[in-house]
Amino acid sequence: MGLFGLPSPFPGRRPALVLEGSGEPGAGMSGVLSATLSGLNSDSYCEISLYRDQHFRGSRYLQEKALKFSSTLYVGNLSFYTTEEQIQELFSKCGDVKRIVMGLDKVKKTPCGFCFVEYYTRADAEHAMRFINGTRLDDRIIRTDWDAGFKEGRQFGRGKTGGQVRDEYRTDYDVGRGGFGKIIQMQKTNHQTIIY
Amino acid sequence: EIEERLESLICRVGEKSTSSLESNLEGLAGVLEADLPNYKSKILRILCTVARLLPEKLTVYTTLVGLLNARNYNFGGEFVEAMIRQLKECLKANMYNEAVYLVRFLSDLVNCHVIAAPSMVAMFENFVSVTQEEDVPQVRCDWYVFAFLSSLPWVGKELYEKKDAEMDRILSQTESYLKRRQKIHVPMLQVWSADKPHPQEEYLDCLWAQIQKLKKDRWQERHILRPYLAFDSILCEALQHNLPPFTPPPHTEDSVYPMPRVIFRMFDYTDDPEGPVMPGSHSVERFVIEENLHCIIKSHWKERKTCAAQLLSYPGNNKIPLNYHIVEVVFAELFQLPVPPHIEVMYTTLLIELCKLQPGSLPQVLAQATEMLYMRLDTMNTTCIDRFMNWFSHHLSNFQFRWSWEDWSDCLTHDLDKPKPKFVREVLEKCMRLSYHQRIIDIVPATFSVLSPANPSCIYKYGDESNKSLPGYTVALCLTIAIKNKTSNDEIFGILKDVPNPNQDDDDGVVPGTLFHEVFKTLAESDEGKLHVLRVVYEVWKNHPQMIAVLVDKMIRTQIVDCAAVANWIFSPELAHDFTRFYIWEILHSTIRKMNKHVVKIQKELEETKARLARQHKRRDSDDDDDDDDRSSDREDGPLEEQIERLQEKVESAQSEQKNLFLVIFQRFIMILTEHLVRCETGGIDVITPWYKNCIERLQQIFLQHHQIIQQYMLTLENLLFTAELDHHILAVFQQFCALQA
Repeated sequence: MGLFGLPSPFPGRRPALVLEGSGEPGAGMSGVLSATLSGLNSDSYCEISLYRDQHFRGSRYLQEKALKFSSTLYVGNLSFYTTEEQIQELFSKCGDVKRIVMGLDKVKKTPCGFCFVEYYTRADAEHAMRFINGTRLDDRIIRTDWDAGFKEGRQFGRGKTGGQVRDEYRTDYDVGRGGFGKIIQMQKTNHQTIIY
Repeated sequence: EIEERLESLICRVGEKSTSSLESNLEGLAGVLEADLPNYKSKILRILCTVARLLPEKLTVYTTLVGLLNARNYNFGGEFVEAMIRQLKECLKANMYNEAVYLVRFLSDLVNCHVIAAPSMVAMFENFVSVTQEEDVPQVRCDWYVFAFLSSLPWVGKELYEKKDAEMDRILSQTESYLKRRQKIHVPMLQVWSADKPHPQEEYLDCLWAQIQKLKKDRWQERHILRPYLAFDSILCEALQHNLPPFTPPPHTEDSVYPMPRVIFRMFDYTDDPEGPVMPGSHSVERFVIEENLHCIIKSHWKERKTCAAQLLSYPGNNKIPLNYHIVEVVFAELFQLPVPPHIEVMYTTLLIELCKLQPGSLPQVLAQATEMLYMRLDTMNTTCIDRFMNWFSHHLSNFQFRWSWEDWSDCLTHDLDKPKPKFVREVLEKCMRLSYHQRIIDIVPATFSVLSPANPSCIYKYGDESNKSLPGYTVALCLTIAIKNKTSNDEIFGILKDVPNPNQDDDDGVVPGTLFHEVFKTLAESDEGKLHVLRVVYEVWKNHPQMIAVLVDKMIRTQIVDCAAVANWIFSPELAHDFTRFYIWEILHSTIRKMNKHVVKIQKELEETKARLARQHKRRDSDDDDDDDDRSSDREDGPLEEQIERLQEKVESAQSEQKNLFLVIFQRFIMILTEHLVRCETGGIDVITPWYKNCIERLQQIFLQHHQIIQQYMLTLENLLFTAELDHHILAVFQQFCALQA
């Protein structure tokens, strides 16, 4: 697309790209229109991160393949109070959302700050990686990452106390994520017990 | 890999560097010249590609080609030939935007002594003589005129100096074409209907005025960076090539030309009194700056940080109010009619990145722009108001919803259906969707409560108080529908006994616990039933528009209701109260999009199956004639051919459903608008009410947003719906639409 609107052919009729050698002299220019510049193809926001789900059933190769074709995103750093409706509203800006699965505390079964957003197409999910990742929801910078696909059980936090692992070890006070990290909280209670 | 290295060297020249641009270009020319014997075709290909894909660095690359031509005359000739071939291919492939960049590149090569000026003039002569062709769409002539005029900022001076008589002839031919071309389409594409403070000019008119002014200034153009000037002594020694005579490829049935545009202007030099002077709307500098900024966005839209950085490092920073240009260009794209060049959310995120990089200056310009847009809401196109509202609410949600709402308390004195209070209401509703109800109550002054959205909750009139048991809702809904449809008692007892089973299987996207699929489906078998289902959903969820949208989406996907039913429901009297609310149109356009995607999906399946059959035939043909050929080939083909037949039927049925959907929508629009017009005329009241403006622009929006598909139905629309007997107010919309590709 460009400055002029949408110069696209009628549905069913594709533009006739003159490709392979028309036999013209000094050729070697066949398919010139399909040439691109790798510098311009940069799409760094859509790249696969280094995270690999340790619970994934299958080889590394399979997991990476799933990530490369996935239309599901993991969304992290949510507030515990962020609702499915808010997530729906925000992520719908990139395309129709197929479903949202809220991440839950394994014990309390309440939201624990992450979710999965699944789109109908990968293209829509890519837009979310480019334009929603790193922006704010409920005043918090949220992070999106490719996910291999939701499976039952993956909606639960994997920390010892039921929430996400990162909330076990956190040392800062985060009012949207239950205050101090779990270990710090337990230390505080222990400390108080010791005093008495 | 050598090709990667060459590509990288070529792509990066012109970027920030410790050495000067001139020495980088000289060095690169030397490297490429040395590589020519071995890598000539690769270098040709890369250079042709940067000419097409990096137009914002046009003069950097024309200088490079100029230097190469000076060192190697044959290479220069081959490059020009390759460019002409590429131009022809672009035109055949309907890639008109990129073709303009190629034409501009060729014309700048005149400045680099690669192409002889007279041959360029001859090419432009051929371009403009397209305006003499008969029975061709206006948009075809438009493109050739645009390609000519838009190259003149770069090469006008040189061409005029060498061939002034010919240029005058071409310009006068252009002028007479511009005078006689029709401009019925313009009102449909304008963001504002008012001419003050800045007229929204048709793009060719604006460009013509800019070129006229340039000519009056004796073609002096000082904004474009021209690295070739530093190499004048080398370049003027070079031998030039003549462009081969260029015949514009003829118009064919498959040719699709760019649609006309209206130039978006919101700033002028009075808006930044302290800073550098903004070039006037008819100055050629304005044209060049805007072109380059648009090109930068086109090149880097996927990489928001790079895009923002590239925009902000546009040269000429201290001579032009760059922040204002950037904001104007971004909004120009966001508000572009029919549709923005890129997905809307990109612009929100890009503006946030720009604010991050220029925290001391850009947010203020953005605030100023927002204020200006608010002030002019009364004459802003409804579709653009939607986009403004979406952008603003999303933007605020990234900045804790901080805004000086009191500055807008003037809107409280207006009727609530006037554009300004309506805009604030929709913004607050969108802000609420991104946060929560109490937050919105907290951020606005108490006086704004009349504009605050309702607390989104379900209106549960059907029995017990509790809002928590969602399955209970669905049973209640089913019961309501069952009762309204006078379903038999036996069936109702059946519903009462069954417990809704939250369906965890998401193959068809059913949301767990929200829908009792089978029951709904049975009840919604008739058109009346479908309308009932939609009505009940509305009654229960009318304080929670987002939920209505989600439920309607699910009901379409699970085929409980069809798209036409949704269209009819939207125009039904029960929804009249909410008819101008944004969420209604969100639902309608989402419904149309689903229909369109469905058709495309099945068409694709058909194409793929046909391709599979073709491959199967090919494989068989290429194998040697074996024993039991004929029978086995029939057996092999059978299932695929059956599949193709089935898919063919499916495609036809989907296309017919799609056409029906549009016809229903247009019909309902005509009915509802005619009603209003008749009422006004008999009552002697002015036709143009806020409701009317909203409705007629919604009709326009249907045409614009789905123009490719609607083009297929032109004959039906003309003969069946938009006939001459129609009120001229409504007919005008159709005529403007026809004019877009005429």
